Amino acid sequence: MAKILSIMIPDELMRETEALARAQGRTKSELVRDALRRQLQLERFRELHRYGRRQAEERGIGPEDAEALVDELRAEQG
Amino acid sequence: VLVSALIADGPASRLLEEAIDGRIELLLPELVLAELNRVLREKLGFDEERARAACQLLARSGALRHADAGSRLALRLGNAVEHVRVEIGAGRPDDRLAEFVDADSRERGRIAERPEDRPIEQWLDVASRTSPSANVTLTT
Repeated sequence: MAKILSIMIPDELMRETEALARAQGRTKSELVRDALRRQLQLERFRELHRYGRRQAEERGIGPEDAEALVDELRAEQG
Repeated sequence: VLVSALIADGPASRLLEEAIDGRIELLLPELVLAELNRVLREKLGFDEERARAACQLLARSGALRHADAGSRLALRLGNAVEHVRVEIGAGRPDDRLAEFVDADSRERGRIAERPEDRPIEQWLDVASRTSPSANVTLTT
């Protein structure tokens, strides 16, 4: 089920969007949906990244330990 | 690399942001994602929902790539690259994790051969203290 979202964007951004849509043979709606989808994914990643940093800090784990963690897991698996 | 990306700032984290943003394509075997899920839960204390969400996000990032992603990057690199692919894996016991950005799409979807077998024209070493094993290879 799709819903309609009306947004206001500056003239210059609209011109760039129209030009890009023409160049790529896509609709403006497709471009906006795409941009929104990617932004939501990016924000989701950043949220998970913040959570991951907290979890690692609480355990005194740094990025230099990442390989060792994977090795440990593999060793436990046999 | 994937674990580092989720627990610290640095090249690995930026690489994943690039993938999620659709500028590069991330090809991840299911086994790697399954292992990541376990490391996140068992070694880093991620709850199940977040560990699953992280893996789903990475799995979807490849699907988000657009047909013009390679050409957009090629534009930035002066039309030197026609196709961009990133592969992450450790094939041999002594291998370090590495990412390959490859112009050759003929073997798309397969884990690549060793980096030393490739016609490397340019290496960008992005290794740092925060990601000691990260390398990016550009081939044309």
